[in-house]
Amino acid sequence: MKHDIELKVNGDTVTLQVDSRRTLLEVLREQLGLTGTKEMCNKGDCGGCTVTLDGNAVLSCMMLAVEANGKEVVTIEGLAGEGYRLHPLQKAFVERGAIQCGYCSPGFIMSAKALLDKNPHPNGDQIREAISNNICRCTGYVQIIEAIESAALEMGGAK
Amino acid sequence: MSGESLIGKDIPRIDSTDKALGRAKYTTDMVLPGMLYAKVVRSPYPHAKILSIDTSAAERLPGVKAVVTGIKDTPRGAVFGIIPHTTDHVLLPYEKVRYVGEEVAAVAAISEDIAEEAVDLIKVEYEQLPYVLHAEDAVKEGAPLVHDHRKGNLAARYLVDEGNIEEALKNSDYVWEKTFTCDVASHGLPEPFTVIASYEPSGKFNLWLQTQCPFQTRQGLGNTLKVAPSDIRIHSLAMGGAHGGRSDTPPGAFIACLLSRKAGRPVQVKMTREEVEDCMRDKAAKVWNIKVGFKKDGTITGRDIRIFLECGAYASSAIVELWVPLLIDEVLWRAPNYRYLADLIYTNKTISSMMRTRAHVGPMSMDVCFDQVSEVLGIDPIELRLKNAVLPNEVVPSKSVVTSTGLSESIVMAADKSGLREKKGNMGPNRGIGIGSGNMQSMFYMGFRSGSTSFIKFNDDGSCTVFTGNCDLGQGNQTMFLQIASEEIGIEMKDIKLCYGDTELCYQDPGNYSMSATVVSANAVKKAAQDAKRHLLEIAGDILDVSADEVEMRGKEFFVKRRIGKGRGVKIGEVCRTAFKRGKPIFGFGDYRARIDYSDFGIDIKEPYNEKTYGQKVTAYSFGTTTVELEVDPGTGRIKVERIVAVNDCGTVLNPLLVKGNMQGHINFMLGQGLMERNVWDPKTGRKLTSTFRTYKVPTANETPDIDIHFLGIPDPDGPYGAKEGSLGFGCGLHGAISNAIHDATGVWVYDVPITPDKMLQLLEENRKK
Repeated sequence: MKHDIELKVNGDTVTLQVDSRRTLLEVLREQLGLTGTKEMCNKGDCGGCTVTLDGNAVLSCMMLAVEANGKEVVTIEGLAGEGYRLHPLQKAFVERGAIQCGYCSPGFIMSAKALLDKNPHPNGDQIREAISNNICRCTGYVQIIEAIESAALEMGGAK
Repeated sequence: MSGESLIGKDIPRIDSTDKALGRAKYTTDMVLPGMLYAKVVRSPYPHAKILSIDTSAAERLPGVKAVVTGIKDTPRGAVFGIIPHTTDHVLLPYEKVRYVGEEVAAVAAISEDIAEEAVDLIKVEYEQLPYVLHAEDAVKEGAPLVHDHRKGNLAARYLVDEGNIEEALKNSDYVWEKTFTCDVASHGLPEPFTVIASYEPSGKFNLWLQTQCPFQTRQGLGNTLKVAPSDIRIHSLAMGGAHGGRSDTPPGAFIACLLSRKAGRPVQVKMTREEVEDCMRDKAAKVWNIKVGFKKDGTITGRDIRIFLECGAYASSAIVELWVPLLIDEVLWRAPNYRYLADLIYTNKTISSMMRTRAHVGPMSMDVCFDQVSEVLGIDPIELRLKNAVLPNEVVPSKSVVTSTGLSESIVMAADKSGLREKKGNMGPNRGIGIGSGNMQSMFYMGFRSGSTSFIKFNDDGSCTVFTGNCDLGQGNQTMFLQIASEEIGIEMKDIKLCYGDTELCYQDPGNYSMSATVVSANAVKKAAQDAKRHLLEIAGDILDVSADEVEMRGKEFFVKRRIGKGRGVKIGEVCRTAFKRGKPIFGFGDYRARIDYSDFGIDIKEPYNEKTYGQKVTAYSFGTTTVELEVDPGTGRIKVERIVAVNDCGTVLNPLLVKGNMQGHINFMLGQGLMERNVWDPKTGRKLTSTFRTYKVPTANETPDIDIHFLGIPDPDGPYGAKEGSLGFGCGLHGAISNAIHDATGVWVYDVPITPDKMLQLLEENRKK
């Protein structure tokens, strides 16, 4: 069954007809071409598909697109400014070496974004907790944690 | 360029900005016009004969464009295997299935939904056969044979026998013997296996897939499709994890090619998480029995190693499991008498193959040995290690020369930096510290593939493009190639582009196989850059009316050396344009052949036995030592690793930012396999029970310890600028360090990994009863 839904995605309002079975992840990737959000396990175990929904980190593979009707979604593509001006989190991930194969990176960055939006000065344990649902097989998490700490400092300094 | 060297600088990965923006294109992101979606029919049985396949209902389903089965579509006699002896894997079988999940048929349709529906309409008739899941059962008399012609389920045997081990052990003052085991582990790759194949009317296949070694995948597909490898073009994209798990010629790629040729349209095969875990590759379970003879003074007289490895259903590429442990074990600790006898055993399970941590049981056994024997002989355990540690220019049992090693230095530094001597035995209840050493090869024997060829073309604006057949798994190879080209040529990295891993445009390269990227592929790029620089200087010299050796490059300009600061320079763009006008554009060619003995490595064997294993089989070895501090919870059996000191002997450190990141990643991988990662099969059905991240536990940020990294910086004679493999070797002793730390914490010795909480509790309980 098809449903008409309206989403605010990365600042743009879009109206879509979606199949009731389709997850938010599928609709973002396949209908809106936002392939920055990654499919990893498709069952909520890995955090690879994390986006923010009304400011909260959510697993887009575990949510039907129709459930997001009327809500605001931010994906990894929605973080940078004009001309690919990197968000402080993106910049810190690049500079700190927190990205290796990069497949899990959008999920980590979006989990960290949701954290920093709510808690601009997190301690190490709070950072670890915020990304504890995200799996990375390359980095060993050290440089990811450093990147989030560094971005928090930079963003805190800007305020 | 200011003339300041880039070697040893922290340079962020050049591809990470695209990845941070979500712009990087992975195979799973690709859609081609007219692309069809495929689904695969898989065996529900661990061992069965395929009697018949009825695809008629699936073929009638609207939207289905092609159906393939092994019976109808697999070219006969086209079998995959990386060496002749183990060409045992029919990628879409037509006679027998040998593990749950093996491919039997496939459908391509205009949507995934239709393909899934069609798969359900295919009726396969099987005759179930008895199956065997574990090596110890598979070698027993009367066990079901996974391959009828391989008696005792022996896929292959490998022997190195140097000196007289029996005599040596008999004459030793003390002989230590133990058996170590490890479970089957998964790569847990983030990006689901995906391939897109597009067959062209000319007879050519274009493929986009995740592969660590495009040229080997091309060869494997050529062999199994029975087409010339040059009729297959592999395109490399960003890749979501590899870790050894994308080194093969996957059945999914073969099936996508068959479907695309049949349908006349591009076809995507994308696996689910369960399919990836059940049907891609695993790391072999091992049983590692070791005897070590010692003199009273602590000198090792000999080592006798007998191992059994489970290769799963096919030995096609699992054969590597047989000799890589040797290439680690024979190197670390001197042994004048040495025997390594390894059997690769078929079972009805997921196929084993390469993995970054594949050989950890060997190093682990020796570090446990040193700690135990030190008590028997009354010798300090660090001194015992140093007495037996390999030194530069020593010859290992299979006759490779170790051209550089800082093993001893790494042991001393790790012990010092961690405070091992002070902390051992003094860390308080249930807390302990341990040490372990490891090593790895930088390029092992791969026949004619043991070399790489690179070239560089210059553009008319003075920029250039580097071409290499190597690719990037995330470890930073792209960055390394541009860093080296920039260092040699003298133009900035941003003025150099890279074309990589494209089998049509690039020359042959080993790929990310045998840890060869630094020593082999980067050396080829270095030579190509030097060649291009020579051409630039020649043309600049012509323009400036002097010989090439009188010319110096400063920034993007060339000057006559003796007139620097006085005369006019010539810009690099002008040099390039002059070269074009002369009909000889600036070009650099570089080829690097690994320093190995190209004679027989015993891999062209016809029988599952080989003894011709002598000669230089590895170009360079990396080494290193780690210490682990941990706490064991006696109530839950849970082990918390708190601190790790890692000392890396990886030669010159090209880019510390990246090498450190790779090391942290390797530690994470090793911790996972040491403490939690294991695959389990249901004995009643032969099914894997650990095919998701919920059931196959991997470390998260919560398990990350403090990691203190140090480099020795001892240059290797063959590596570019003295660099060698930097991500793996240092950490291969981590499980020995964990085992020794657990003993320090609890008095319990661990001989089996992963040491999961249930196993730990059981060991503590047994210890209490003693």
